[in-house]
This record gives sequence, C-alpha cells and structure tokens, in this order.
Amino acid sequence: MKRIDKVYEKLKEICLRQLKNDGMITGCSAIDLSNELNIHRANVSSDLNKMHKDGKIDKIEGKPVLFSIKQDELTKNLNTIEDDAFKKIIGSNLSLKNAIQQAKAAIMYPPHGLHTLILGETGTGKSMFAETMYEYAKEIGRIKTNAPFVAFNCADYANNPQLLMAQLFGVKKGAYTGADKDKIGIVEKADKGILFLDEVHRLPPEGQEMLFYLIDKGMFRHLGETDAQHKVDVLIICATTENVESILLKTFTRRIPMVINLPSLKERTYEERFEIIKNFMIDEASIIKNDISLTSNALKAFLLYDCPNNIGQLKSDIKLCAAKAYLGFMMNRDKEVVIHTEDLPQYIKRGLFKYKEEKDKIDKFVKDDKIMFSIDKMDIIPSEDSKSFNFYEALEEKRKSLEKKGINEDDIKLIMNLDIETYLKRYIDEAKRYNLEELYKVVDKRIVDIVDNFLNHAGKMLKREFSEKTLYGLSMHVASSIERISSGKKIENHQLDDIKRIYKDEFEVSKELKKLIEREFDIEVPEDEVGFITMFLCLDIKQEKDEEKVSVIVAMHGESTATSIADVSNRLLGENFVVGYNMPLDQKPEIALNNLCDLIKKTNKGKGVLLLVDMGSLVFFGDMVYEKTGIPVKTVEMASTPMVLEAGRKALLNASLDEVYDSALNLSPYIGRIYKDNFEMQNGFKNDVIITACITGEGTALKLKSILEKKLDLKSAGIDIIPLNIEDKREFRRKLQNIKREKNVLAVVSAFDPGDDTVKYISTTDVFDNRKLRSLKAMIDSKDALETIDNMKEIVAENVNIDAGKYIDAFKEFYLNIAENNVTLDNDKIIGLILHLACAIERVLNGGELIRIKNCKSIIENNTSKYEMIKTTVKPVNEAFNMALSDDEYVSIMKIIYSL
Amino acid sequence: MKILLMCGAGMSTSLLVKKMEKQAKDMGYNDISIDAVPIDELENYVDLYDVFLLGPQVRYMEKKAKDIIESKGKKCTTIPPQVYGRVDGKKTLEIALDLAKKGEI
Repeated sequence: MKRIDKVYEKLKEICLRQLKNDGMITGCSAIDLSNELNIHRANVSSDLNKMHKDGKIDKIEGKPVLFSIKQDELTKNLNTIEDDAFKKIIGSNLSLKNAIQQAKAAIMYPPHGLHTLILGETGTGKSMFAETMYEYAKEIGRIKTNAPFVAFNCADYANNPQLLMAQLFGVKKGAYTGADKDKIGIVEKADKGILFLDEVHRLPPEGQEMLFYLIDKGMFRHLGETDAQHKVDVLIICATTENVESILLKTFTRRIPMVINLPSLKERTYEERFEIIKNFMIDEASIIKNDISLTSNALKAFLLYDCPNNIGQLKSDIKLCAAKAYLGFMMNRDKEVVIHTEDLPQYIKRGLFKYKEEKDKIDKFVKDDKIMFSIDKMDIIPSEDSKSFNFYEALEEKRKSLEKKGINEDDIKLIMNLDIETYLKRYIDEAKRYNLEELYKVVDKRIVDIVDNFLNHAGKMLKREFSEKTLYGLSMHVASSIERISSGKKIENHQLDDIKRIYKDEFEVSKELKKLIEREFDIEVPEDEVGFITMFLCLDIKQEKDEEKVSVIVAMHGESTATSIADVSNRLLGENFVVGYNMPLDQKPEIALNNLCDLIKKTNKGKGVLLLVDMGSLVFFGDMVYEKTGIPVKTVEMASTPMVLEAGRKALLNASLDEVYDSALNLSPYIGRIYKDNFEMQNGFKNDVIITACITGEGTALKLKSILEKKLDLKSAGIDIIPLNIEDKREFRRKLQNIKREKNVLAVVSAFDPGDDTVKYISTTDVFDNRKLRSLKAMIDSKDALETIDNMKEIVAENVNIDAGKYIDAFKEFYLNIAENNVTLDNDKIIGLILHLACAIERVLNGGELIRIKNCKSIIENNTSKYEMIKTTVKPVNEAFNMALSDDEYVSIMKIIYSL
Repeated sequence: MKILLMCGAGMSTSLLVKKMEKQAKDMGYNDISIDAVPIDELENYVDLYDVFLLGPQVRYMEKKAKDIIESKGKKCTTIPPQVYGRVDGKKTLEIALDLAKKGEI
C-alpha cells in the first residue's frame, strides 16, 4: 500500500470512529494522523492536501486545519462497520444471514435499490423484515429519514378489485359514481420511500398489470385517468406465502429481481428458537411487570413442538401460556409466575415426544429446573435451588402436584419420564466434579466399594467399560436410595416396564447390585430401584451408540427431492437419522461439493458415510469428498426411497459402512427383489416367466436370476424371472401352482425338481453347463414359434386325419430340437412344415402313395450334415406315430427348412 | 379355369385343394379345376394351367417361379400365411379368381 493510501485509510477509520462515538464527524488534523501512522507530519500534510485537491477528501479550515472524508464515501462504508438495523433480528448471523445480505444488497443497489419479493410461510416475519429493510435504507441514507413506509395488505380488498385499485393507485374525480373528488393512492403516498405490499398473490389481475407497469416504468395512472401519467420514485417490497413456483409468482419473479426466502421456524436453529422464546418471554414479563419462569420441560416443549404458523404462532402461544400462568399467580395458586408443562395446550406438550431425538441439541438451553425471565436483567436468571435437590423427593413432589392438577395418567408418565432422565443426568454431571477422595466425603466408602465391584462385574458380563462418571453417579444415587429405603419411603420407577423390555440384559445384571446392597445393609431393595440402576448402566451406552453409526445422506437434484425422501425414511424409521441434501438444478457442482463436504463432516459419526445419489456429478462426489476430508464415503447411485430406508435401518443397527452399502445395493432394481409369496406378485411381471428358487436364502435365487439374464438375453425375449425363497418342496409346489395360475411358467431353475411335468426343470448345476442351458435358450427363442405351433392344432385336427394333439406335441419337440441346432424358422415355414408333415404322416399311416423327390440322393450327398440333423431331430414325430419317414420325406423337410 | 397350387412337395397344398374344390362347387363354378404339385415340377405344368398359387413356405422360390410363369403371360402370387395357416379354401379361391381377372385385363 502506498503511503498516500495509508493516510487515507487512517483518516477514514478516525472519521468513522468519531461518527460512531459522537454522532458527527469533527475531522482530524495532520499532526494527529502523523502520530497515529508514524509518518512524518510534512509528508502526511502533503498527502492530505493532494487528496483535497483531487476532491477525494474535505478540508475544514481553522486552526489546526482539519480533514475529513467525503460524506458519500462515509455512507458507502457505514453498513459494513456499524451495527445496522438487521443486527437486532434474531438469527442475523445464522439462518437469516443470507436473507439479510440479500436485503442489504437490494437496498444498496444503485440508483434506487431493487424491488424485492419476500417469500416465507405465514408467521415467519415478512412484515417485520420489510420494516427492517426500511430502517436500514434510512440508516445508510438511501432514503431520507422522513421518507414514508407504506404497508398495504392486498388481501384486504381482495373481493372488491375496484376498491383495491382505488386504494392503491388513487382515483380521479368522476371515475365512478361517488368518486366526487380526486383521491390520492398509497402508491403516491409512498413516493420517495418504500411501498410494502403484503400477500401480493391476492392482487387481482388488473392490479397486477398496473403494478408491473409501475415496476417497469416507475409510472402509473389514477383510476379513471386516461392520459396523464404520474411518476413516482418508490421502492417496492412484496411479500407472499405462496410457493415461488406458482404461476402467479413466476410473472412476479420475472420482474422483481430480488427474491428473499425467509426460513420457517422449523428450518431455524435451536439457538435462534431459544432466543426468540427468550425475547417473547421478556416481552411478556415487561407487560405483566413481573418475572416469568418456565419449567425445564415447558421450555423443552416450546423448543420442540410443531409450530406450523411459525414465529407468529410461537408468540401468541407464549402469550397465552404466560396469561394462564399469570392467572395461576393471581389466584394464589403459585407463589410466582411460572409456566408449567401441564399448563401447556396439548399440541405444545406433544413437542416433548421429540425430546429423545433432539436431546443433544437442546440440553444446553435447559440447564436448570426452572428458567426465569426477568424484565430488569433482560436475561435469564439461574435458579438458585437447583443444586441441592433430592432425587426421589423431587419426583414424588412432582407427581403429587401433577395428580393434584388432574393431569391424566399418560401425560404424567411422559412428564415424569423426562424428569427422571434429567435427574439422572444431573447426578452424573455433578459427579464429574469429584475425585475419589472427595466422593468418600459425600458417600459412604462401603457403598463406593460395592458399586465399584458391581461395575467391574457388570462390565465383564456386558462386555462394556464403565466410566468413572458412572461410578460416581451411581454411588451417589445408591447412597440416597439406601437412605430412603431405610427411612421406609417408597421407590417408584415410571419407566420400569420399558426398562425391563428394552434393557433386558442390563436389568438382569443390575439385580446383582440389589443383592450386594441387601446383604451389606440388610434392607430390601425393590425392583423399581433395580430399574434405576439399569438406567445408570445404560446412560453410557446410548452415547457410545450414537458415535458408532454410519451416517446416511441422500443427495439429489431438485429443490426438495432429497429432503423429502429423507423425511419419509425418517418417519418410517421413527428416528431423525437420514439427512437430505437438495442440489438445485442450477447449482454449480463445485458449490454442491463444498456444501456436501461440510455436511458430511458435520454428520460423520466416525464410521463413515453412505451417500445415496440420483445421477450426474453427484455420483462422483464420494471420492472427491474422501480426498478432501479423509472421511470414508461410499456412493450408491440411482437411489430410491426403499434403498434409503434400508440403508437407514441397517445403519441404525450399527452396521459397518460396507454392510450398509450392501444392504442398499441389494435393493437395487438391477438385482431385483425376492418374491416371498404369490400375493406380492404384481402385474409388473410379463406373462412369460422363469422361476429361480432356492432354499439357501434369497441371495442364490437372485444370483441365479442375474446369471440367467446375462446368458439368455431375457429382456429382448420379453421374459421375466421371479426369484423365490422357499423353505421346502411342498411349499415350493404350492407357490409354483399359485404362479402358474397367473403366468405362463416356461421353466423352473432350482436345486430340486418340483416334479411338475408341464414345466421345464433345470437344475442349478445345469445353469453352468452351456449345453444344458442351450435347450432353455432354444425354448425361449422359440417362444413365439411354439405359440404358432399350438395355434395350428385345430387346423390340423380339422383337415388332416391324425391325432392332432399328439402330433402338435411331437412337432414342438421336433421344433425345439432344430432350434437347439441354431435353426430358426419364420411363421411361413412353420405353418408350411406343420401342414406338410401332417399330410406326410397321414399318407404313411394310410398306406398312401409317398412322394418322390427329384435328385433325392444327390441332395443328401451334398448336405449330409443337414440331412443327419433333420433325421435326428424329427425322431419325436416318428416315435409319436410309431413309424419311419422315407429319405424323400427328409429331403422335402430339408428343402422347406433350408430353402434348398 | 385351371388353378395350380405349389409347395415343397405338393402335399400340404393338397389340403387346400380339397377345400377350394368344395368352395368352388358351393359357389356354382363348374369349370374350375385345382391341383397341387411340388414347386420343382413347375416347368412341367406351366403350360397346362391358368393361375398359379405358391404356399408361403416356398416364398423363397417366388421370384424364380414368377419369371417362368409370367414369361408365358400368366399370373402367380403367394398365399398369405394367415390364409394358408387356416387352410382357408374360400379365401384362397377368391385370391385365385382375382388373379385370373387381372390376367384377362
């Protein structure tokens, strides 16, 4: 950087500082700058004068002479340094970061800013956002401080377009009956300022046209005016809840360059949601002029419940609950204003069901039993009594109070379950602060020893290591249990049934500790207590498990394909596990790759990532991600929901990356599905089928299928293979019969013969014997021909005096034989041959005159191999009618077949 | 009018001959005679008949047969496999009559 630039930068910095601290720029002397920069004063002075001469800076005459940067320079830089209007929006650094950058760009864009369309679900804060844009425009001097901000809701007059238009654009006197004077519209009112059109999708078509004209030209007409046009300088911000893809909005987005998406509450982080709740709570506190507290479970519910109308709804829900709590306080039920879980409406309470899944993410907000929001402190006050508490008494008290309030049993159970876990966690967390010496001070050493022994034993039994934390936590817990049992109080565990069911092994092992305690302290430990001990043993494994799973990510093209597949899978899996990444079609692959890298880094739990993609560049991302991050990634392409589901299921079972990968691949349409029973058979199969069946499991049947498909080119023959998984021969026959009822079964390929004469049977080993396989191939190739032959049965019966059924069957065999010799005949020849041979047989049987062929001998001599072939292949016909054809007959057949 | 049917051995077409004869009788034609011979023997018969029909299985010989027949100013065609396969005497006779008409023009 040149010296003169350094001087300018320093000057700018000082001026901005002055503006921030004093609200105005007083300027800066050459000496001050010289001291700051450590550059000789004379040099600084000459630089400053040069810049002044060039018009880059202002000079304030006086003693000493002061310099300041130009006013417009200042505004340009202001927003980047100062706190701006957007800072007060929650999430300005998180999920709203992008939206805010867009908004700033829209306002700053020269010369007058860009018209903007704000999209977002109802209650996401579109109006508030528009107002903030207005504030910001004032802050940076884009509009004057007294510039208007006019908001208009297009839904207001939606059923009366005339009135709406009049409101918007103003009316000329006499435009309609009753328009007795000129009336100015809100567009004019917003001149030199910002016009905010909410619910713009409700604007009637006439209004749209005029609005577009305004957008394009900056001009409009009053209603009833024909020639005069008015010019306004107005920045338009529209807002809508409609999907951006809707047809109406397409016409908008074409004209409105800036489209800002506001995230729904669901898309925002828990940090943001917590801040929002905090803000609303403090708002409420200042309204009722009293501190308000939330119980930890109520806070969890507020963080987690499904809130379709977003922040707007959250706000009114909080208001409602605060009002209820205030009522309880006024009626002297509570000593302070507290929102209890049981006061929440059912749909908010339901949020607690999600707690287990989201635990890790929200526990940091729920440190205390009660969270207090105070008007004065504008922040949370930690509750004081949180440290000294007694597990059982707290539970008991809680239960009593819930019962007293008439909460139903199911809800009590839900609330209590969550409480129990919170309390247990607390024990463990508290225990972190102790070392063994200190533990002895709090807990009887005998207890610690017993627990230590027990944990060693349990560790061996369950093949698992227990951490120090568990030792401390469990010791403390056991100490208080013993105290409670000794004093004759009851122990109740509301999760006992679940624990026994889910953690069967741990529960069994925990009984050991019960015995140890009973022997040492001569008391009786109830089963409920064993349940609690079990929970301590399981607290650890849950976390381990989390770290051990393969992550499953779906990445697909399109706005929402991946996330919706992930969503469906998660719902079916009952766990929020699969992650979706949407790659919009116009997104550059490099950007998608970077995003995916970040996502994979975030979701990788140490066992690698399975990436399920649809097509295109996404297919190659796996390797690139591995190169970049070192995280093992496997990619499955052309993924579908069942594949994702299967991968997710497998991953949740802690399978390895390879296993998860295989499980997804095995569902691939190329390898196919296994058909367990007839009713699963869809009409998706073609009419002609081959069945592969195995008793060793699905794998072999599928394998056989793929081998056959490869060797026989079944696709072009229009034949499907049904892989069957069978248990025994009887079942096999039953299934085969079921399939035969609906499909034409050409053959069965299996390790054992179903013993059905009407179906060709091929053993598994034959599949690898090309000669044997050839006969199957001949059959498949002759499929159409065999049909033709079958159709000729009636004709033969009608015209020729032989047993047509016998003849057609024999002829089919004959045909298959020649087909095996790679001879195929077209329908013309088949028909001719059938009729010819039928006549020949008839003549032989009736002792009629036989045909004579010219040059019969020489033809045979010239075509010996063909002659031999015919002679062998026609055998079934000879045998069927117990006769022998003459050489002349063979030659005439040869002539038809080979067109001699 | 004399019609000649030809196939590999004159055997399968003989089925058709029977049917056609019956059909001709039903239709009241008394002057139609029909025969079947192996196609190889065409040259021996070409002067004796007016109209010639080939079984579809000897379609590969059609060109050669046509040359011989048309050199005598007579007409021939191949019986469509659908007709032949059904041993449809009526249809075959119609084809033969059609062909004869064309020949006169």
